[in-house]
Amino acid sequence: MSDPVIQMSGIGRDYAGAESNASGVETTVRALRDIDLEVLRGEALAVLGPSGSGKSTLLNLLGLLDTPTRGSYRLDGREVSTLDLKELARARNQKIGFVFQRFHLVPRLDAIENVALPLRFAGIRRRERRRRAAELLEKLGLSDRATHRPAELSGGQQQRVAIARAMVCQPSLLLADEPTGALDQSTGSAILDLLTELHAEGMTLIVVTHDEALGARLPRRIRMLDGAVLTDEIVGS
Amino acid sequence: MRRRTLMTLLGVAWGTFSTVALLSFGEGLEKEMVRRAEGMGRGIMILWPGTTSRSSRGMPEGQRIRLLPSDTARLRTEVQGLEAVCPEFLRSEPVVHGEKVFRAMLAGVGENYGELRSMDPAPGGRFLSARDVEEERTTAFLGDRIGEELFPGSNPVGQRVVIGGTQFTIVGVMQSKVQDSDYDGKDSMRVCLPVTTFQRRFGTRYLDNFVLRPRDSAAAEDVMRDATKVLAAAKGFDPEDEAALRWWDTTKGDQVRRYAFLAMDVMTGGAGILTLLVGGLGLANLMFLRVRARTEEIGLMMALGATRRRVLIGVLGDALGLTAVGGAIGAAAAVGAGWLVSSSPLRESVGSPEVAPWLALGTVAGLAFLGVLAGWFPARRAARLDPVLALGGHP
Repeated sequence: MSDPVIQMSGIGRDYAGAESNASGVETTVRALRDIDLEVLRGEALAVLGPSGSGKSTLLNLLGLLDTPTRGSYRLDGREVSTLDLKELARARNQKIGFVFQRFHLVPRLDAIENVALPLRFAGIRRRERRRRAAELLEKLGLSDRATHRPAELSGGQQQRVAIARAMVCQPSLLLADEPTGALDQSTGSAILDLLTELHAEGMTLIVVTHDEALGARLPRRIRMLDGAVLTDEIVGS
Repeated sequence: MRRRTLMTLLGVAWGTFSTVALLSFGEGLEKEMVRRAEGMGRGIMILWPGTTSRSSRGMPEGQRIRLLPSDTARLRTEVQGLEAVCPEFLRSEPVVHGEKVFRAMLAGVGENYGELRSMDPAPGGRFLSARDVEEERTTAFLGDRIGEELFPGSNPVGQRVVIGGTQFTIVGVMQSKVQDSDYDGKDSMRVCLPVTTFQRRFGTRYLDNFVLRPRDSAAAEDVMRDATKVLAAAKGFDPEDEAALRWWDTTKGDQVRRYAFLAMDVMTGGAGILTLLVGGLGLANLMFLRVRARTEEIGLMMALGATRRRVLIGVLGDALGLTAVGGAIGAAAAVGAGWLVSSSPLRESVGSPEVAPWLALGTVAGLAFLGVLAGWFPARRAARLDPVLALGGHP
């Protein structure tokens, strides 16, 4: 049996005073309430739910971009609340790969430099950075686009560059936020093929989406509503 | 944004240009004025005899003071803080070479006169030597104009001239120089003879001047007081009688000039620095805009594992880079402008603008300070961004 990558228990996230009603009384927005979640190494799951259900907040917490108000979150067995800012940055760099809906490539940099970017924050030398980035681009079939800038790439190619960037530090966890949301159906399908391929190679994958069809292609599905987990189903096990 | 960046660069460049150009111009001008002032001698004092204005110890009022060559040794040994002293006889005489006759100012002087009065020999010649003086040789050192008039188109060194019926051998001609002040005529028109030879040939007893140099300008007052005391004791006049000896202290002018230029540097430098500060303000503004424009990118960097410190340093580096580019453009323009002035006829009046080491160092340090100052607050804002918000998410 695989070890857990993610162990969340009793996780809550409140936003105080972010919205106030007409009478001026501060309201607390409970974006997440009492989430328990365990994800084993090598699992692939979809987090489904309408907008405002709390799935983005969950993704930000999982990705260490945000910290929970309550509860315990262990990533690779390490309690996250004990990490300081520097250790959090390091954990984001080493343990997590992000794939965004709108790619978030740096327009000034070409494909290979974009892929190599996280390695720079890991303190790896330039030559080695370029070598590893080129290797990944080749694996993803983008060798001939290595020196192109994002503006010279199609949406699908840009997302593949972004996936290469997410993979380059060999993270424990790949977090994808609506990875096909900005793509047409066939391109989006190809991106999903690539993600499931990576999963087949052993990568732990969490995809956040409101797209039911996309969710249907992953073996485990979590449905969220009003900041809570509604259902957690594992298909075919 | 590109246009704004360009304008900001120009602002920093202009500030650097005005600071460096004004200060290097001032430096060049001061050097030129020093050069002219030193044309008569660097840090020297001229002493000549006057007439007593009151009676003292048997010396009546209205008595002319007489200075003798033998007073030279007295001054040299008894006056503290004196670096050098040289006696000087003066007399206007015709100088003859073949058909040519030229009236020159003859100076009977010691061997250190050339150095004291900045009368440097042109290549191939020398000034009068100690042996010329000791052995009463008939040697002469010519001002450059006298040399040109008497020996047009040929080298006077080794040739002879006749002065007062005696043949003198020319040992050197003065290197042409700029001289903004003088007594008894410009040095280009002087002919220097050994003081001993001069005294014997012309039968002169009383000196016209002493040329003295205090060890530094701070010692000038002491030298003046001590020399007056020494000579008053020897001649019997009242040391408080200011009419008995006349002094021209050129080091006073040096001090006035130094303060004047310091004041000018403070004003022009201050104006330049203000301009630079305005440029820095523009830079700070630009950095805020850049941070805002790159908010998403900064959020991304954080998501990919950039530490806050790294983001801070990145923005600071950006500001410093812009400052360096603007500063380099401004400094290059200032050096170029200085070069233009040096290679134009303006040089004659204002000298060559010069970027002194203190100015170069100060400019680099000032620009670095400006870059950090302008980048600091934008960089801090960038480092404190919430990555979730920066990436366009909402809580």
